[in-house]
Amino acid sequence: MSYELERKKWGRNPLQMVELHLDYCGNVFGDSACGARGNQCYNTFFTCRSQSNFLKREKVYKFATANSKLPNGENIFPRLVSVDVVPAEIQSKGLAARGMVSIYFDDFPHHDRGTDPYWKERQGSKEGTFFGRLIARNPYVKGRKIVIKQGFIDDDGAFQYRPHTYFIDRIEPPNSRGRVKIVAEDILSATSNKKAKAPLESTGKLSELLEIDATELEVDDTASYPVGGGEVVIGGEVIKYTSISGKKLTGLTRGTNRPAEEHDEGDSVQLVLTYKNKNVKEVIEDLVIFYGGVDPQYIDSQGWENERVTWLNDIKLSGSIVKPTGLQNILAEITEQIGVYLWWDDESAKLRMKAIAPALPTESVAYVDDTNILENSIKVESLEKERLSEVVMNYIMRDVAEGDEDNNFKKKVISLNPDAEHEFQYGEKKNKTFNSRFIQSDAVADSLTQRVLERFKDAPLQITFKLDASQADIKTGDHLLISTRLVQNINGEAEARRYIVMKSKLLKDGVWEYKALEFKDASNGDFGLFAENIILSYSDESDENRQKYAFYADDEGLNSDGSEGIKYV
Amino acid sequence: MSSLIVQKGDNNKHLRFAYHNLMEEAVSVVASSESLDFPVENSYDANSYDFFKPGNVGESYIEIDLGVSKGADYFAFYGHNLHKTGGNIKLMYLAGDTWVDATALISPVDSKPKILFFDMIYAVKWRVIFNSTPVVSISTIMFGRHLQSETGVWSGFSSPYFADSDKEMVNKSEVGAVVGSSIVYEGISMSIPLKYLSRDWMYNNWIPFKEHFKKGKPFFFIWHNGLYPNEVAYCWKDGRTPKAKLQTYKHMQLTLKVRGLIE
Repeated sequence: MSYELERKKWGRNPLQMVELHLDYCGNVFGDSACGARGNQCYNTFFTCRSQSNFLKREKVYKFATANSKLPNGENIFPRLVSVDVVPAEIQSKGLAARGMVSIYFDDFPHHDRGTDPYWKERQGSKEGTFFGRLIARNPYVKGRKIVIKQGFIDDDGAFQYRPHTYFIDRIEPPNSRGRVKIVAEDILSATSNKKAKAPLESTGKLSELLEIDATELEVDDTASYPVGGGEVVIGGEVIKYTSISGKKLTGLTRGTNRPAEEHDEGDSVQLVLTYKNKNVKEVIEDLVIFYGGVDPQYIDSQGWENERVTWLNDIKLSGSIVKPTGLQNILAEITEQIGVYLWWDDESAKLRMKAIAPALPTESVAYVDDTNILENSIKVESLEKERLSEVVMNYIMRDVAEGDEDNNFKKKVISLNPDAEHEFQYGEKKNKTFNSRFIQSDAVADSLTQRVLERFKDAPLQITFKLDASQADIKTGDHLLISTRLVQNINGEAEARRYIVMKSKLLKDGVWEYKALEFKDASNGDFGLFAENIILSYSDESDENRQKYAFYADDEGLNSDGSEGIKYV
Repeated sequence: MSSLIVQKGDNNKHLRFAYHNLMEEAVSVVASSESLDFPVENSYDANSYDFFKPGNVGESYIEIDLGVSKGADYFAFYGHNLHKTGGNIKLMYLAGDTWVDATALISPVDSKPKILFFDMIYAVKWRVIFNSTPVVSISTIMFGRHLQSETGVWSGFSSPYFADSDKEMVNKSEVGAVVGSSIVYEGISMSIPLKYLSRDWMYNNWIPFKEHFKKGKPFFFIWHNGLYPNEVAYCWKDGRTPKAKLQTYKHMQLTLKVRGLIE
């Protein structure tokens, strides 16, 4: 049996299970590795009597919704009331809205067997409730993993599921009716502006006057500055240094952004974050892992690399961030300007990145229509606010220590759609302006603005709909074709259009809810890749390669089999 | 008007409730071995969501020392994996220096609750014997004296196999086609009418059972041991404990509303 089989079965038996992964000591109280004496602990850090010897391991507490066929032989508490998931939602701008989950349990009296490792020896009456005691023994739960398993119990009583991983923000104590709430977030919460900044705040200050022509500077504390050199900013002047000797930053290049100035003793010396000629993957990985503190195991590194190689290879980022800036703002800026989606895939437990690009010719695209969309679940909206007729990008900063005002950029590129502004079409201008501190190339700036304009030259449609689990083969970030009677062509026929899944959410009892945004580009979905040298002529190639690559067409624009050739746009 | 289906005195057709558990009265309950986090206490705490697992495969046992001789006439268990492991289980008692079978060896073929009745046996020490590879896991074991009502069932009663309380959902598409269905199994829900019970029976039997019932503690229930010895439910009260009322000058009646598990 498997999840894939169970979800397609008639009369499948849905179940939600929640696993709390909390810290737990691997030692036994009082043994030589532990060394504690006196009253026994509960093998949690808070109750530990020998914290220097705490051996961090994990204990998993399992809860499930009421179901008379719970798997046998596991300690699963059937006290899970509901799981309210607000999944990560890709935004048209790039950085996803963070996923959040609220989970409700009923508290209950419990004998402490399986939770208190020393229950047999412990003296005294057993008072309180399961969650009351759990919270008291485990106050440090922030950031610990919580896994929501959604799936079905098969005929053998085994649970076939898909896991959805989040991280605990807090456990709220039982209310007067014994209801307990756990709030958890996705990994992108680590990058919120309140939690993470880039560059890090530097602690050093000038310990003496810095004269206008000085070639080294002395600080009271060098801990914030890389030994191998870097850039710092003092009073708006960016200064490059090559090494550190004692308390001195040496080999200075003064005033890389503006004329050098004199600086007073006590002036703060802030490290500047600088990227030079880095690709998108390198920059985002550095920001998320180093500044956001995200464990690299949660990065879909290979997937990011695939996207970079396929769609983002010609984009190099160079720029400086002078003032510690909220990480979420930086990521939003980069993802929007470069045209990538960044979101937490709770099912694979990976932070995923995807270029905003059409589906590859080799990529299978799901098809959904009125025969599988659940009745009364579909809603179509036209996102007029997203429509654009002019996209501007200002790039190459004059002075990195100044803000990102329009007049602080040396160059500008404008992509226009005058037809859309004509009175026969929309009759108005709709402008979007990007101020980019990381883009340095004219070609890249031009290409990015054109892509954005092409995607939003008309108001995109947004569709929400539900599917039965048996039909739910799509995930967030997937391309799909949707054909519905609510979106018709000029003849009144249902028109299949291309969309990207922005959000997917499993409601309980085997129904999935989706939100999808219409996707448009210059190719209109019909494009081919530049072929390798070994590729044969169209008539001699395999069907797979004909689909994948672009071939020269004849003078009429047709392939040798009469099909329409691919246009170079 | 209700009609009497089963006559008094036909006790194999009378309702049977098994709530008395000698394991709860024991001086000691010790397993031959235990798995970490699955101690023997889990087997008689009435919870169906925690389990006892011996520490070894093959033969293992739970020994119950009552301190004094006490009688039992039923053995029931629920929440096990013996039907998957091909294992078996039986109840024994110590007679002199010899362990004697109280029940035959039982090799369950499904996960349904099981109850076996036997003539009253008195003993100080008892053993529940398992033989299972892989290791058995079991949530509930009970043995002791069972309670029989003075009558059988009454019309309108849904027996456990017909008292499903599941949540059933069928999903239809925009064009009206059926695309999938789900069933959340939530056990059974029954009303058990008890009628024409003598006042003596009520005072002697219902009052002690009521104390158990009122706490919400589970019990085994079988409605017709003669015809349907396998139709057993592991039940607990649903809502408030009912008030017993006089039905005639000599008889009383009440209806037990229960939830239960049948597999």
